[in-house]
Amino acid sequence: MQQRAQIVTAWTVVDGANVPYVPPLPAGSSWMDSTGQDAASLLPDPNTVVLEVWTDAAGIAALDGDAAITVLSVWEEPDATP
Amino acid sequence: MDLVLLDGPKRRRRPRIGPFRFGTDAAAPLPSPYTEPAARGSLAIVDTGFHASISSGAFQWATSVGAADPAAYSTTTFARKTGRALLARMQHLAAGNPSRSYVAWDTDAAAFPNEGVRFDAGTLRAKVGADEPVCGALSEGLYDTGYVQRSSGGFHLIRAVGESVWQLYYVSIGQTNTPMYVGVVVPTSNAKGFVDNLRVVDLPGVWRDDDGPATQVLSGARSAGDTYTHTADALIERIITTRPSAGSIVERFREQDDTNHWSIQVNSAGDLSLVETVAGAPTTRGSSAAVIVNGNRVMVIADDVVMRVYSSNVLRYTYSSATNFKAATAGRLASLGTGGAVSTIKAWPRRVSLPGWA
Repeated sequence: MQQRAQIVTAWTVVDGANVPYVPPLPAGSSWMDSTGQDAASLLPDPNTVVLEVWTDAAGIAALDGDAAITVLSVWEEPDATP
Repeated sequence: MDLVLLDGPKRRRRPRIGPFRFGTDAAAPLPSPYTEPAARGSLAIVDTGFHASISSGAFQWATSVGAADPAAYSTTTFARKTGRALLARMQHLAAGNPSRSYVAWDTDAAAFPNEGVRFDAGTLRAKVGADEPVCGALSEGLYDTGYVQRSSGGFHLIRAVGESVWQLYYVSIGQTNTPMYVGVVVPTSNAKGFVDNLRVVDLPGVWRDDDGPATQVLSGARSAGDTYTHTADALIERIITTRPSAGSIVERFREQDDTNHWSIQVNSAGDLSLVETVAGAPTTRGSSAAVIVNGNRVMVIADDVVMRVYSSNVLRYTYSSATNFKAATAGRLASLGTGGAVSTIKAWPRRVSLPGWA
């Protein structure tokens, strides 16, 4: 997983849990919340979150092709790990 | 900050090899085998580029030919033994070539070693067979490092020189090689390294136990509702024996109460998630897609506000804003989902002492 991206996405509620919206990514891809917003103030406002994503080229394509998110930056980092 | 004091008697034990203190300057090429009057044993030096010298009280090189060149290996092997520790002082300097080196156990005294500590251009890694999980950033400076053998795997330790306690930065399983050499090994070309006070000692006390300074060990198959305690800053492992067919395995840690806690969750797809629950409302802070298969080991390392989540010796993600419940010390296997199974939950303190080697 040498491709990294920083994205802006929205919080959603899935089975009662706050979960950032992320399109399906290839197996082995990971993301983490970069903002650390207090859990009490996620929804309904501001309802945006910045995630850092570790994925591959197909994952970057999935991010780029999803109109629901904004890709802030993409870079390649050999041997990249979170 | 949790500190678990494990000091036993303060008497110094004679190293199995060393201590190599590199107190007398010597230019490349160094003699091989290399010996010191006060040190037990000798080191075989590999240095085709004549880059390794002894200066500033250390075995060091400013550049390198390639993998394992330069290198220094013990000329004798050591049987695997629980509590057998390889200790050394290493330096990370940002200027010039990247600081990259292993101080590790090695089966063949050639190429890459098998188990131990790796400095990797400002990144601290554990060496676990072919895996090298990232364990955090290194700032410039001198560090004492250690790798203590278990019957399978070992304890990876570090502290900045001047600190009184050690940080247990990773606990590994699965490596059972024996006998092994000890080695100082450069991993790549154009890298520098600095190693001092190299020695092998047999630690007493809790280190003779395979789980070392573990604060709790729940062996065998676990049941939903099982509880354990951990230090607030801790390393916690569990084996995901079987993924659930529905729902999720949920294991809480830093549990303040039933509605305020952190948890690791594994669902039927093998997704591995870190969830913060505040006043009963869960928030997913990190997740990896389809990384868990049956039998995988999941490790969480919680240190103040930083949480690192590993599976199969890969750091999956790091969450750096874990301010809630950071003093909580309760753990609970809250759910196995449908058909899920978990075994062998173990917790270690993040900070420990090494008896006789303060």
